[in-house]
Amino acid sequence: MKEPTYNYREDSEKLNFVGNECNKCHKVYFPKRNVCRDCGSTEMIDRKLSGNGEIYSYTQIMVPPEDFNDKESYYAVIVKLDEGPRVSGILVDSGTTPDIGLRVKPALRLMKKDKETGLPRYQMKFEIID
Amino acid sequence: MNGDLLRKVAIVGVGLTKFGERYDASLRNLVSEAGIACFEDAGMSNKDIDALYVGNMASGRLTEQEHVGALVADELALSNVPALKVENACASGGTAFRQAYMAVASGMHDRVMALGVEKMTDVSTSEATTGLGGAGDKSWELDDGITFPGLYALMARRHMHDYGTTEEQMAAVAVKNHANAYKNKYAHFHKIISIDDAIRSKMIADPLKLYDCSPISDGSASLIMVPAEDARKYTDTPIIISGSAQASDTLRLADRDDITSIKAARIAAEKAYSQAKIKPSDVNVAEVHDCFTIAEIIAMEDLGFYKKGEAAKAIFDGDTGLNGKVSVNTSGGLKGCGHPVGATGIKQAVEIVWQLRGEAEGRQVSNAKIGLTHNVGGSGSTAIVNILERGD
Ligand SMILES: CC(C)(COP(=O)(O)OP(=O)(O)OC[C@H]1O[C@@H](n2cnc3c(N)ncnc32)[C@H](O)[C@@H]1OP(=O)(O)O)[C@@H](O)C(=O)NCCC(=O)NCCS
Ligand SMILES: [Zn+2]
Repeated sequence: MKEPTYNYREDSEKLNFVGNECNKCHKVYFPKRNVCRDCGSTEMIDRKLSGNGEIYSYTQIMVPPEDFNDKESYYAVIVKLDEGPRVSGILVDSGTTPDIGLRVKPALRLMKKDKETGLPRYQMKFEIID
Repeated sequence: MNGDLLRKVAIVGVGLTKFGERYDASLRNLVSEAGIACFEDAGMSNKDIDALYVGNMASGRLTEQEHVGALVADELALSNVPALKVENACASGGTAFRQAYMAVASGMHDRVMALGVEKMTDVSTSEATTGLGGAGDKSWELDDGITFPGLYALMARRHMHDYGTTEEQMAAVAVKNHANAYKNKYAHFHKIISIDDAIRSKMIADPLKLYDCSPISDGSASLIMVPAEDARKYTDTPIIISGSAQASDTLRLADRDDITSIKAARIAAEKAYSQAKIKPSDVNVAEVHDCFTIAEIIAMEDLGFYKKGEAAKAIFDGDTGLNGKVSVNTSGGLKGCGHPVGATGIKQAVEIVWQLRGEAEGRQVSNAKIGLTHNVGGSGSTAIVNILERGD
């Protein structure tokens, strides 16, 4: 079996919203870091995040990356998580038009089968809370 | 390092290929076209060069050719000189420029060539754009479905939200740069467009449309640097590099505190201005990294030409057109002249050299004395700012 080309090693962190926190200055990170960007400490402690937050910016992508998924277009967002860090991701197709400041929660979705391995691939997306 | 220990560096020769879809030319052909033009311009023999720095982002991915440093040295028949390729995404050319500058300034080498090249059209547009996506974070941006235009679209949307920037103002960047490119025989596009054409073009990543994006281009650009004290042996109009600075920032866009500005560019600009002992208002002509129209608006703010939130209106009002307050992207920029990624940072310097020498046929800025280049990699993870001045 071939190796998938996407970085499956980060899946458990991505799909479960596990970030980490600096044990010295308490800055929270998602994705995890091994060195604190603010104070340089390497004492980092895992921390599960809620995945809830608000939209900081958004775009509708009309030309998806090669072989990305079956959709012709979808919304991409940067979300400011309630615990502090900002992360980019995509929105589930709920029919609600995004706007800056709208609240979102995480939503796990099956993306498609990985083209190399045939294994299902999941993505943690965001869903607008009406 | 103490700047007083550095030698002054001058550019004494430049060469450029026609940018665009160059179905007639391979990677190697582009290199010789720009390289030979550069030797002729400098009145120098290829055997005079003693080191080579090549800027190239993705030759392996786009043409399956690696080891481009040696390829260029071989193609141009240099004399077994140290040759290497540097990769810094869309800032690879600017990085090669700065490496060449440091090699001469430090006293390590005396006649150094910097050459940028990218052959992009041997693969499909979608393969090329997937390759360019690697300028961002592969597993936390591209794999999640966020394309490169998508990253700049996120910046644009937030800029619109925070400063009221409009789609018409972004379109004005494209209109200006297409008008400049029309006067540049090396440019990818020779097509005058209107605000309406730009606004009505196909949506790529809302709010960015086709005409907000730079194209996929082939091309190469090259220049030769020597210690300023030797420059008059080769030219009557040496161009002095009076400032050169580079900075980095987070790989991922979402990690930055403010996505309406590129911090690495602000840091590089501040350092370059202080090295050159000038202020933004002293600059007559600038080539800035307009990979997307919003990027030129942000560049004008980061470079200190305008206060935050004021550049878009000024550009729309014509402030930065040919012979405006500051003439910006007289080559046509990445938008109009094209964006063969590794060549762009060198091409920017070539255009400024022509402007400062008074050789920018058909698009000459009158009395241009001080020029600036601004080259960005990824969504702002690398930035390089150089300041060039006439030697007289
Ligand atoms: C915008 C983009 C997706 C367009 O690709 P595309 O839709 O496949 O376009 P095509 O190559 O099929 O070209 C279709 C037409 O549009 C024109 N065109 C392509 N890109 C263009 C652009 N950026 N501006 C204006 N016209 C463009 C082509 O010349 C062609 O015209 P024709 O039909 O008259 O021959 C692609 O150019 C792109 O991704 N650009 C961004 C590149 C990038 O990210 N660079 C790195 C930045 S640092
Ligand atoms: Zn810390």
